[in-house]
Amino acid sequence: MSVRLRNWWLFALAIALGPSLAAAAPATLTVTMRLAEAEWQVIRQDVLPAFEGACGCRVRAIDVPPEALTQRLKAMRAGGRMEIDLFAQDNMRLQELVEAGLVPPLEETEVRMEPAVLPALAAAGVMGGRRYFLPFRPNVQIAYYNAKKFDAYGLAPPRSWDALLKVARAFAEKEGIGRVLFKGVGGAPTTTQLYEWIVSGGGDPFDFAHPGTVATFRFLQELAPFLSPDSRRAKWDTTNDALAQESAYLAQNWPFGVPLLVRDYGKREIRTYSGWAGPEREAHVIGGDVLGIPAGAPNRGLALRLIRHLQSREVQAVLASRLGWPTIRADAAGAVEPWLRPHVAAVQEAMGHGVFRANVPYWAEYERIASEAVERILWRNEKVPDMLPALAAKLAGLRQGRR
Amino acid sequence: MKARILLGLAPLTLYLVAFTLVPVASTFVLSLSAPGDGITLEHFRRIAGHYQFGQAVVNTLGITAIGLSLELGLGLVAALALTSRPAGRKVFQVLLLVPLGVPTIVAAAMMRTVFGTVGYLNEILLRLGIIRTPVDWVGPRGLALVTVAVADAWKVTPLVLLILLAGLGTIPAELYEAARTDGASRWRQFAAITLPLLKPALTMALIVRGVDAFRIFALPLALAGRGLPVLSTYAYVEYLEYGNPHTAAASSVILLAMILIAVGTYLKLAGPEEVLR
Repeated sequence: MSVRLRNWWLFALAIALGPSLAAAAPATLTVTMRLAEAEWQVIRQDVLPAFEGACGCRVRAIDVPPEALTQRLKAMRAGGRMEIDLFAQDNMRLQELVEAGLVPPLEETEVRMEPAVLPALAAAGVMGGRRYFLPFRPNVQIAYYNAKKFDAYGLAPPRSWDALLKVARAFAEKEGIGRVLFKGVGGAPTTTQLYEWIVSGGGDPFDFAHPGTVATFRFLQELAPFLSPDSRRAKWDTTNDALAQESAYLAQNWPFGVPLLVRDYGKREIRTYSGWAGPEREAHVIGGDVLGIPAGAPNRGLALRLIRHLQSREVQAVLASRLGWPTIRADAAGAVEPWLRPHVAAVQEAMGHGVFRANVPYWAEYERIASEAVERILWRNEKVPDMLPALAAKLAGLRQGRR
Repeated sequence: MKARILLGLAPLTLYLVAFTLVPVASTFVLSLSAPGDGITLEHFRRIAGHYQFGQAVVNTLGITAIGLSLELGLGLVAALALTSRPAGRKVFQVLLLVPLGVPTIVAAAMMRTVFGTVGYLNEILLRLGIIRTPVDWVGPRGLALVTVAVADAWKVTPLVLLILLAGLGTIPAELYEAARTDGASRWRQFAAITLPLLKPALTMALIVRGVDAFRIFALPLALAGRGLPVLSTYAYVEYLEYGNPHTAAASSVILLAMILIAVGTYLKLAGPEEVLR
C-alpha cells in the first residue's frame, strides 16, 4: 500500500470513528465557586475526586467571584454557548440571576433534600414559591478578639453596644489608635455588617428614616473616632490581615478566618464568640452560598448528582472539620477537630441569632446607598441628621420601584 | 512592491483593529447606550451626580501630578548621578532597576507592609521618637495621595531613569568640553546643554509615564481600598460590584478623554517634533 493510499485510509478511519471516540470520552463538568486558596485545596483534594470516581467524569472547578458570575453567564448565553454546569453563589446575589432568566426553577423531582438538612437553611433559594437554588454552605459572622490584648488591659469581650463603645474607647485611649474594626470599605462587606447592626438596633435595613435605623447610624457616628484606621480598607480578607498583624483586636468576620488565624498563623490568642447585641436584640446575617444550575447547562443530570454529593454528610463533615465551615446538616457538625470546637460553638450560637437578608431586586443600588452612608459618617465626619434624610428618600424611591 | 508592503502591514493593522479600535469603540457604544433607550447621556449624568466620581477625578489628577513630579525629579537626579560615572555605578544601576521587575500587585502588597498602621515606616518613626502614635498613611486624603504617589514612584522611576539615561547618552561630550573651556559652571552646563538636549527624552518619559499614571489601579486599591477612589477603580467597582457596565464604560471614556487632553496639551506646549524626533 502506498504511503498516500495509507494516509487516505487513516483519514477515513478517523472520520468514521471520531464521533464515537468523542462520545466515549468522559464528560467534563464545569463548576464555579468563589473560595480562598486553602478552601480550594480541600475541595480539589478531598471533595471532588470521590465524585469523579463515582460518576466516571471530570470536574473542572474554577474560581469566579460572585459579582462577576451574572455577567459571565449573560455573556455565555449571548454567545449561545453555556459552559458552566453548576455554580455556587452568594445567597444575596440570587435575585439578579432569576430576574435575568439565567437560572430556571428546579423540577419537583430535582429538589429532594435529605431530612438532615436544617429546615431553616433549606428555605434559602426559594423565590416566589419556586425553588431555584439548593443550599450548600451557610455562613454567619462571629466576633474575633485578641485575648492577650483584652487581658492586658483588663477588658472583657463586649456583649452590647454600650460595652463595645467602652472597649473601643479604652483601646484608643491606651494605644493612641483605634483597635476595633468595622468593615468600612464599602460594598458587600460593609452592607452585610451594617444590615445586622441595623436589625440589632431595632431598625429596618431598607428604611433609613426608621427610628431604629437612625439610632444605629448615630451609634456608628459615636463609635467612629475610636475605630481602627484599617476599617477604611477592611473587608472579609483584610480583616484577617488586621487580626493577624494586630492592627485590630476586635472584629466581626465569617468563620473562614478561624483555621487561617489559629491553625495556619498559630495565633492561639485569637478567640471567637457570637458577638454583641444592639438595643433590640442580637442579630447576625446568615450568608453563604447556594448551588444553582444555569439555563442551558450542558450536563444538568451530572450537576444534580454533584449537588447531592456536596450536600452529603461525608462532604459536609469534611468541610466542617477541615475548614471550619458551618454545615447545612444536623448530622455533620460533630466531626470537627478539638481545637476548632469552641469556634464552632461560637458559630452555632451566632446562627441561633441568625437573620436572612431580604432578596430585593434593588440590592446593588441598596449596597451603593448603604456604602455611601457609612463612608460619609465614618470617613467624612458628616452628621447623621444632615446626610441621612437625602439617602433615606433615595432608598424610599427604590422601594417604591422608582430608579 | 506596494502590495507587499500592505501585506506586511496587515498583521499589525488587524491586531490594532481587533484589540484596540474595536474594544475602544465598544466602550464608547456601551457608555452611550441603554437597553431600550437608544443613544443616551444618562450614564454620564449618573456618574457625574455620584458623590465618589468627583473624588475619583481629583484623586486621579492628584496622584498623576505628584507621581510624575517625583518620578521625573528622582529619575533625572539618578540619571545625572550615574552618567557622572561614580564608583560602583554598575551595582547601583542594577539595584535601581530591580523595582521595574516587580509585578505591580506584589509591589502593592510590599507597600502595605511599609505604609500599614503596623508597617515598617511607623515602626521606625516610633522607635526614633519622631511620632508617638502610628500614622494612618492612607487615611487623610492629601496624605493618601502622596503615599500612593510615592509607592508608584518606587515602582516606575527606573523606567524614567532608563529613558533619561538613553537621552543623556546622545548628548555629545564635545559640547561639555567646549562649555568648560568657555568657563561655564556645572549649573550653566546643565541649563544650557543638558536640559534642552534632554527635552525629547523628557517628553517621551512624561508621555509614557503620564498615560500610565492616569490609569493607576492596583496601588490605590491595595493601599487605600475604596477610600481613595481613582477613575480606574471607580470603573472597576461600577462594573464588578454594582454590575453596571454602562457607567463603568462612561467613566472609562472620561479617563481616556483626560489622557488625550493631557497628552495633547503637553504636545501643544512642548511641540510635537519633540516626540517625532
